Amino acid sequence: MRRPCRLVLVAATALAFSPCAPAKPLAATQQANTNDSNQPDISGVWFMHGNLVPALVPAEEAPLLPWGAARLKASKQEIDPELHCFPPGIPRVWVDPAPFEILSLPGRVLIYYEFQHLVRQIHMDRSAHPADLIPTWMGDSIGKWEGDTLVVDSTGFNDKTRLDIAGLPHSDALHVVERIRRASKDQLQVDITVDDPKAYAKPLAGSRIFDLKPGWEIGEWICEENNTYLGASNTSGTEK
Amino acid sequence: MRRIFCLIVASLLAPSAPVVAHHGAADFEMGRVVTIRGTVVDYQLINPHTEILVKTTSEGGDPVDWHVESVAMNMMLRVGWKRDSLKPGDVVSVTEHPGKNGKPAMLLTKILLPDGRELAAPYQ
Repeated sequence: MRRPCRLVLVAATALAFSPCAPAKPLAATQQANTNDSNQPDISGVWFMHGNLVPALVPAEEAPLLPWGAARLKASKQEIDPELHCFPPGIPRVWVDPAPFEILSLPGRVLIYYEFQHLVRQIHMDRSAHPADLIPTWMGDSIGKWEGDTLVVDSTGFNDKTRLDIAGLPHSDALHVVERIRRASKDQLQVDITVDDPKAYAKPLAGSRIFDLKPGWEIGEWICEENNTYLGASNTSGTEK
Repeated sequence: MRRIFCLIVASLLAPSAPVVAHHGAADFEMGRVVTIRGTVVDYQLINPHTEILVKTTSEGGDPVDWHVESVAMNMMLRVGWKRDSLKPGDVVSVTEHPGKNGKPAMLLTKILLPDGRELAAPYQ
């Protein structure tokens, strides 16, 4: 009589510690956003994790071709275009220290950067870049979901920006792939591949982590204001 | 006429090429931190860089104006700074990275206010 009770006790104990527990509800990162069902939610306001890191990759991981080396040397004699309020381009916009907000619309993901109040469109409703793109500062971006990762392909860049704050150059052959995923509830990871066969002997690979900032809103930040690099044009028109 | 004069003066004062990108941490000794105690002369909570002018007295008794720099107003507001956090006359302790080449400029780490509260830079 005692033995069956003991067996039941052992079985009950085994079940209590069993890995076959009931399935947990989907984590926030896996829940669908409101625009596209079954797609991960990367929306929110995000800001760089930790301190400012000016270089996308260490210099030794950016092997310059002769064209690239010449461009780098020339650029050291030039004023950084950002100081004159020209856009940072991609991927430098991820390096500049300002928050951004990711929003989803039908057919597009928008990234609203506080830096120069840039709005970047990632076209989700087409899978190719237009032919004969006119080169722009921020390029043309198309995106698709691969599992929990938003894969963004960008081209159509002019050659007027720098890849990062450290000053790595690029040509108009620049092609950037960004893989954006919510690594955890509070962190976004952006893995960046830079392919520029005119400037570099091989693709560059960098990565950035961003923290979710609940309660933050993208604010106004006017590049031309208090800008000592713009001479007399930085006092918003007030006569002195 | 005055506008032309101002334009000429402004262009003379503007930094000359070559100019490297974003002058942030590159101008400061990031491996060293010092603390100074002095009196606030001016406080500008602005984009792109917050500027605080702190007057101290050197060992020889000479006044020294320290240009304390921090990051954009938008970021400072997010970590508790306000437009009235400092005012001229406030006696403060400033912990910062000193400027390179002995210049009296510094990159703010944190500041101790007269009422004992501390405000920090949101990042370096």
